[in-house]
Amino acid sequence: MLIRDIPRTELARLLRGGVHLDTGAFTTHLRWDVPDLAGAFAETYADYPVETDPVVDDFRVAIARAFGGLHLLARKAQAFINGRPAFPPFPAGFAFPMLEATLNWCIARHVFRYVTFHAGAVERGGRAVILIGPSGSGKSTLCAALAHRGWRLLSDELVLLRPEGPEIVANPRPISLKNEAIRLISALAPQARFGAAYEGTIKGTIRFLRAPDEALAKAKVGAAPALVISPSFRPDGPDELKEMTKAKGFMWLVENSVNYYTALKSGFDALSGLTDRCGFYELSYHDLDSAVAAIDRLHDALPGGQEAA
Amino acid sequence: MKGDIDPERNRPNKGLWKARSDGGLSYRCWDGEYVVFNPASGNTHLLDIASGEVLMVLLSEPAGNDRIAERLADFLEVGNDESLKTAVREILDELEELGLIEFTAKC
Repeated sequence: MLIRDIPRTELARLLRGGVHLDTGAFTTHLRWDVPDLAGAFAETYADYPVETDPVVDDFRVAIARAFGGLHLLARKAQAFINGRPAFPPFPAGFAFPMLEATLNWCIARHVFRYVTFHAGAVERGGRAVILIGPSGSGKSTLCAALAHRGWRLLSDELVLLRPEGPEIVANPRPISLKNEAIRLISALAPQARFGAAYEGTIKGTIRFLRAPDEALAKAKVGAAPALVISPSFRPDGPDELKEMTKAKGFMWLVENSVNYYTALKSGFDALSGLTDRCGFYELSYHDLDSAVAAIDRLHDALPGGQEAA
Repeated sequence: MKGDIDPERNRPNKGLWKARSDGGLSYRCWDGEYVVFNPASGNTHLLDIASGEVLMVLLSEPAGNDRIAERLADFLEVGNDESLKTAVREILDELEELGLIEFTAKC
């Protein structure tokens, strides 16, 4: 059943006991007793399937009220992964952003069957574009823009590489946008569906953008990697697209992987397979329209890319 | 004897370099640049064309500085002069520091 088909009071009751949330690549057992969370979850994950019957989960996540006098007085909550505290207690009002952070942490720290990158990925015509780079480089903003301009969202924040193929595995979840990026995407894609605004977080104002319908309809369909792009948003600078050598691109992947160093030789082989297939580019852009157009052109120049355009 | 020791590096002048064999290095080359995975350290390194070629020489056979310079001069199609020999010493230092090669003194 889909979350949107469950009455809100029933959903709150189910979540106290636990549900199995299917995001594409992973199934997570979710349970909480924090009232602030149900509304935001129902709104942002409306179109995701959940199961109440037992399934084999990849992770167990719980968000619970933090105990201890001061935490209770301050209305704090705490996240648990597989029964262990994941982060220090946080204000209960930020339970939804912390749930998202906890789900990311699960993937970053507990998944070893894929090589995982701090990145975003979209797909068109069966070809995946990986947007890679440090926090603040604008990759989530660009990922959100592409996901509303003819590309399918594969995942944001963490990208999963299955070495066999190779394939970028889909795991579409809400995109976390901050501050100015919220205004930019609202202007670019009026149809974009945002959840509530969380103000005063350590990263400023955060809003979560719902994954578009197409992303959820193909939540278990991956794509072959074709391009790796490092975007950087420069409001006053000229647009620039620069090809990078494959070996330097490989090192980029290494630097932005969260688990390459645990994969050893198999990680090296997986990244080699990805590098063989991909072109690497640095993209500086001053507005989202020009960045989307530049990536469209790169895609269309790929073998067979024009037909898929 | 003092003349047989390289004082800067504190090792004998005569000897052979060889690729570290513990676990076997993995490498890939794209357009003349190399990435090398060292299983002993778990680290991956980016090498330019000259450093990569020196490593390739040492993966094929142990060699001394003169032989390595000879092979590199042939590969790069440059003269085997003093500046190349200096460059080779620097490359060998770098590869040794990365744990990719080791020096064996000649007995």
